[in-house]
Amino acid sequence: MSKLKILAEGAKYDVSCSSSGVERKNKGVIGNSRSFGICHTWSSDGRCISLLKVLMSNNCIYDCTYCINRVSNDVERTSFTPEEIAKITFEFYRRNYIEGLFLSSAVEKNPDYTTENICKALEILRFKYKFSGYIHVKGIPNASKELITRLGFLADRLSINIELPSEKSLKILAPQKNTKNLLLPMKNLNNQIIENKEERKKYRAAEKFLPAGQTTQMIVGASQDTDYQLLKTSQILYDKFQLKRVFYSAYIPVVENSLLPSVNTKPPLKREHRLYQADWLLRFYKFRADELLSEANRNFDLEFDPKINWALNNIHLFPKEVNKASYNELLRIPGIGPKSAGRIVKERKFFRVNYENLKKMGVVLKRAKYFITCDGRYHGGIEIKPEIIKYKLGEIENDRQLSFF
Amino acid sequence: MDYLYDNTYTGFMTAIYIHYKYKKSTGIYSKNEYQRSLMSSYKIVKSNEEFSQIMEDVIVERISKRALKLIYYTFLSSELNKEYYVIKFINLGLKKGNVTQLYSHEDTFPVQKTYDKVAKEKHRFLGILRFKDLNGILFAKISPDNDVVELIMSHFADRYKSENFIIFDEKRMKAGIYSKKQWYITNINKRIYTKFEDEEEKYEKMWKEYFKSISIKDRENKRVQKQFIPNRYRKNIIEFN
Repeated sequence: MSKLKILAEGAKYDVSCSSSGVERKNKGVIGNSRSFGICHTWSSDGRCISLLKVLMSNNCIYDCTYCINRVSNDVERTSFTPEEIAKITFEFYRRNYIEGLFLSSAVEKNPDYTTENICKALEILRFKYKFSGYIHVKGIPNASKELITRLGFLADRLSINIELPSEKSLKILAPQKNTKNLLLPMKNLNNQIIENKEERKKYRAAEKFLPAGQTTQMIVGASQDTDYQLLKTSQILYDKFQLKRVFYSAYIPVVENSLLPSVNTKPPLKREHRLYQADWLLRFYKFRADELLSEANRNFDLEFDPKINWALNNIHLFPKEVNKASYNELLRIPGIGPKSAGRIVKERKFFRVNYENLKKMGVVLKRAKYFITCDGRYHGGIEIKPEIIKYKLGEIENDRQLSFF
Repeated sequence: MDYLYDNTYTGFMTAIYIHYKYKKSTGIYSKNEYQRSLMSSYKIVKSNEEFSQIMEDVIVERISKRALKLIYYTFLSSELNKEYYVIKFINLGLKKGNVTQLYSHEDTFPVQKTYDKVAKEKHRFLGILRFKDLNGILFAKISPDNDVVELIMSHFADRYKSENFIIFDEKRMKAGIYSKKQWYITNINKRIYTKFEDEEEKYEKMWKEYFKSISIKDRENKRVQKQFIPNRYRKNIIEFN
């Protein structure tokens, strides 16, 4: 097998591939970055490919149970040299195959050795090739603070993967990791990002430290952790460390182990999907984790999305009159998103918005119609009762799923 | 009377100018696509830089800067009635001011929708366009639904500022050329033959291999893949060939 193949296979379970968050003109010889991010292609699993996502090495000293690269797993081992990484990235980028590099690594020898190597690759890319494109780099737990800081000035985004949202699960599945050595570097990085922003206000020429911030990933379905635990953890990470994104990765069994779901288990894709929807609600719809789940209701309904569930549980707030509801209230109506809510608010300054208008503005009426009135008129056609709405929505949902699978 | 313009943006703007300044037309059409009916009379409008500029200024002043962008993108679209959409849009704008705020109004919706479509395709091509190294010159072939070449040139001109490159639209037989730190659009009237170095094949192979290995089998979902990369785009994307 070729190196690229082995080291791409080793990296692919990391889901992040976004290239967004920083707008930069070409300051070197090649490359720039767009704040909205650019997807370059889509693989046969339907996931977007934006960055060249590879490992520096898959030669790992750790033995995290869920991981394909763990030391006790029988896979072919290999490593790139820093120059090789830089050269492939440059040549791929030149042909517009990719938007940049996402470099990660197994822990080879020790965390500092590994991080040092990653730094070297990025330095060659930035200084020899004068590459001004996007770089996302993985932080290796337990690497020294100095090395991580060095990475921060080379990369646009850094991520340290939490993988599991509780100390208990970490102990069972990834005994070399613990919450403290994962969260402390995240906290430090956040402080450095804030300091760097202040500094750049004073000295505009100051180098940028992780301009696209930090992200993390959690595995869904490898441990006993509930959706509530996962989402609460995300909420804390957004609030306290200003993370740009939390990614969720449905666990795909790569090994038979009594501590893990059996290899015949299907990855919980639906559950992952619900978590992403809920995550969206936190970031763009101003919801809080506690509004969506609770100790009494710890996992998402797989049948209906989190927003509909929230609306049905709070049916006393509906229907909302679209010509009167505030922007934030509009956002909470199922079938209305930031784009259509924005359009409604703009347009009703000119005239009263009717049902036809909503359709053109991109409102998903088959969901929204049960929760709104237009100019006082209700178009749902049924009583506003959760069970009845659920039944009606269920019919739609069933139709959709038939075409889905 | 129908006004026919020469298929250029300046020509289009000139026709609109004459429409408002002198005599309302019964319709504005591109010369190349005009189908004359027995009942209609027509007049060919000559492109005029000055008139076109005045018309642009009027749109910016009376409606907004954004309105001009919407109109420009609509012009680049392959919509059959685009000229009609634009006239309706400007009519409303001249009456009501900044109508770019209106999305679903019957006179703005066609332009808004068309703008979205063109903007979406522009964004798409920032990603799915593939260059090949042609003895040091980067060469890309595309076949977009709308005329987006001139919309994507500045992005690539910045990204590859130390290179020279050509983006060839095989559907419209035109190309964006970036050379000596400047770009321009030109018509191509001959077939283009290209010959690539062996080195090129090496990177294409590596890329295809990467493309295959990054996919997770247990999550296969070709339906979604097709949604994002419809078949009509695939012939110029190397990893699909």
